[in-house]
Amino acid sequence: MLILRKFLRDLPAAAGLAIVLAILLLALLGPLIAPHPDDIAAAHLAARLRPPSLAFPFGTDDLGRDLFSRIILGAFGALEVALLVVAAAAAIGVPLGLIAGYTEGWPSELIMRVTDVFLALPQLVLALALAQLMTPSLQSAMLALAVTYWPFFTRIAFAETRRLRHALFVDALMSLGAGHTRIILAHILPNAASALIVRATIGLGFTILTAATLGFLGMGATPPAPDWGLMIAESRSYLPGAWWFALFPGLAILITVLGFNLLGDGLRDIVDPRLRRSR
Amino acid sequence: MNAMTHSPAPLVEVRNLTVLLGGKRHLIRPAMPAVRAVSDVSLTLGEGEIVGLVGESGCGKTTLGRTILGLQRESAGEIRLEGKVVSALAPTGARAVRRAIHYVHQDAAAALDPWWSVGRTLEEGLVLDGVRAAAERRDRVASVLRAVGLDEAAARRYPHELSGGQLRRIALARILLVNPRVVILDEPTSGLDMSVQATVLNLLLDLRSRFGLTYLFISHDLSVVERFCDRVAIMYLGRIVELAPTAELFARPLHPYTRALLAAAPRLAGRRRERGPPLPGDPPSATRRPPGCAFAPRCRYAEPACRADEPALRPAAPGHDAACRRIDTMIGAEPEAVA
Amino acid sequence: MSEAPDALRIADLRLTIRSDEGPARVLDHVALRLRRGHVLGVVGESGCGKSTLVRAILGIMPAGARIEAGEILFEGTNLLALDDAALDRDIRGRRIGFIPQDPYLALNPVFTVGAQLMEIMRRHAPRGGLSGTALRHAFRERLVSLLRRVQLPDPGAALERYPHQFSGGQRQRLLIAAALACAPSLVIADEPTTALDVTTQRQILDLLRELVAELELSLLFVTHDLGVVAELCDEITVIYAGQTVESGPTARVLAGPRHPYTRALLACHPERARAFAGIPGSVPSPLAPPPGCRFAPRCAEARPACAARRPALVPAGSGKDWLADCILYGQEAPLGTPGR
Repeated sequence: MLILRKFLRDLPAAAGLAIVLAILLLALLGPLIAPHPDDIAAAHLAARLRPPSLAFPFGTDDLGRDLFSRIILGAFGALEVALLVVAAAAAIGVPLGLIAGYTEGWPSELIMRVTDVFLALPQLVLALALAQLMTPSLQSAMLALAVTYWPFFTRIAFAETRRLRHALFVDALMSLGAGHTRIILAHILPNAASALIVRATIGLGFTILTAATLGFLGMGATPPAPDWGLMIAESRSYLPGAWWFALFPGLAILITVLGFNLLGDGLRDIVDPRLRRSR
Repeated sequence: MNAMTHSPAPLVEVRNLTVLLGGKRHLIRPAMPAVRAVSDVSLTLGEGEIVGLVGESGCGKTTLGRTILGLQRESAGEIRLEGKVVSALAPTGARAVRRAIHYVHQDAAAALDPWWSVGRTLEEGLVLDGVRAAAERRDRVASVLRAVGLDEAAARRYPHELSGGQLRRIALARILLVNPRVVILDEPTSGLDMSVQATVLNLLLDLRSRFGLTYLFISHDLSVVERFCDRVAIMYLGRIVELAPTAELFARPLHPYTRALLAAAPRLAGRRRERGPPLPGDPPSATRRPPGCAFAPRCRYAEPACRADEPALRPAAPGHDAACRRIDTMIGAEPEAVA
Repeated sequence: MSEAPDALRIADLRLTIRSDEGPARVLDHVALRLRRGHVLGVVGESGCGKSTLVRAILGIMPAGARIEAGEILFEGTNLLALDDAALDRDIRGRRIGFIPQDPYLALNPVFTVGAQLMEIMRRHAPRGGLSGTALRHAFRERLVSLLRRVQLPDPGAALERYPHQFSGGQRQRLLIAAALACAPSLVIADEPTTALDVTTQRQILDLLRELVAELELSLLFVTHDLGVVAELCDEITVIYAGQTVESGPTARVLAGPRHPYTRALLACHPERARAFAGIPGSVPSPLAPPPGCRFAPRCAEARPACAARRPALVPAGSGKDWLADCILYGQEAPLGTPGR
């Protein structure tokens, strides 16, 4: 498989893929892998703030819960948020970009100027504003993130569609009598998909980071959820003594986001129609 | 015998076609001045004919081809297909009434969707034509692949896996599936190796006799045009400057541009007898048209009258039209340019 | 016999390129000979390796390319024995000039033409003991005179313009001027007129012919257009699938080709073809070339011995300069023998 071989030759990309697969595994199998699966809610005050040991590889938090298990269990939440946000952003952004790229004149201009406006909105500030209007929760955070992320998809879809609309094969299709819908959905979209997939992958990592930030600020997940950002917030009062409490959730965020970024970069290099092969 | 009509009644008739490009107004930006890509062109295609359209970059031959096809709307003039008027329509409408006319692009690879297998691309033409049954589509694709000299297994391949010659055959197969009568070939041999070129030309002749096709052969390769086409039209800056049966045009080129073109082409057999100095300057740009005859700035026979107004395409010899007001004096004064 | 060494003499060159799908034997026993002051046309179809050959001569091969055997003698010096630094310092741009194929791609759109040409002079031209402003002045004067010689109008102003302000033909003239900037003795042109219109091509070919005569250049002209070779080149070398198949005086080779491939190729040319027919079969991939003569599978005159034949150019016509690599011809007198 030429694609796989080429991909694996790119070490950072392969590393990114490995990380993402690992996170995926943790998210899906979390409750089965974690040594202390009930530590989402339970409290064992006797064992609070224990440093890393064999029994508790990442130590315990302020309520005596095993940090290792909580971090594993938190993977699911992180991925869930990321996937929902990116899916929503793509669902809004891609169709708009396709239309803007394919048409000319004022509909196209209108869409792109609206996109520019939304692009100018700062994510965190909007999240804070929405948290005030609704109650601070994971839902308000996800809404804010989706609303500020869709313009990225629109811009890419727009650029690709514009480029492809003038491609010779679209010309050939029109001369054969293909209608606009067919051209957009069956021909332009698959060719634009590669750029969009790359953006989505990087977006996943970016969203995890931003969601963690919101969690840290108290504008996202609420206790007792094993949210990585929330854990870091909770650890603040116990630093620098209980260093493990902040370090390991932070590392989890770092490695996850890095993994998605590396994967996205690697995908950018290999999503080339010329790697498709007949069987 | 007028070089423009071809008995019996022509299949395609183009009359006084003019195409202006650009000049659209935008909301915020000022409009760019319109460019005359094609200027007062009249041409006919008789059934079964191969008419060559020769010119250099910027002469408008591709625009003319796309306008006859229907994807480019004309600004003035008339196009008739089998006697019926098919002009004055937007591209979608134009294509609908001109389904007998098809186009083979210069860049055969770029004309195929890189994400689709070749077979699927070929079947799409049939889908658009209303052929529902998948089995029937597969059979017809297999049979047309054989007709163009390719193996049926080629259907599973992707465009980037095929060579230039194979891609041209796919392009031909694609339009054969939808029963064309007129095929506009845009530089069908450019970029091809000599041996592949010969095969493609052979195939084109074979297809013509088998399927009863008529070709408009756009090319800048004079040696190919000389062997392949029945009639030749020479284009310069949007106008046809000479039109004649092939043998006649190559033996007795009348327009100074045609003569310069024929003299410039490198030949295996050594140089054509009349050489003279090479044509000075560069092919003109349609955005800055010279007044009067477009060729006057580079023409060594030009006189003040040439810059006053554009000469019309008129019969200059039996069956041989040229757009130049100095032909009579030139034929009289100079030895003929002979191949 | 003491005569000046040939401008370029290649013997028994073998080059392999490592790829994802295995080693590609792109050049196999390539031989050629360009005499001083002559124009040699190197002709071949796509995939024959002629572009790789040019890169091998200049020492700018892609990653994964390895010269397995052979020598490239430039005025007696083996270029393969020089390291990249030496090639860059003394040979490339200075003693060997290069005219690339596509005038639209070869110039950087962001810099003025003068800036790009000056850079070439700074890197490669001999200083002549000058420095600073005096050197720049001398370079500029030379550039202006070069542009005038390639018939570019208003050379002084031209230097201040950007590439997009010139037409295709003018850009090709700029590239010719760039190639001649440091007064090389050998110029290699890789399909310099392929992307040009017919009338522009005529101007460029005439210009090249004048410059070769006036500056006493040796010109290696790579092309697939036989008509151009017929008009411009003194000698012709035909390459098929990485092997030199025929080599000799242009007029005679084109009038009566000896090698079956050359014959088949000429038979395809519109001026010669009685009916249009290509050459059956297709060019073999360098990943899996046929043994022995690579044209044998498509050759009408092939015999079993062809598959076992070791490539060797032997005299095929009148005079010792007309060689063909074919079992049909003469005794072994290979061009590949050094010292010949």
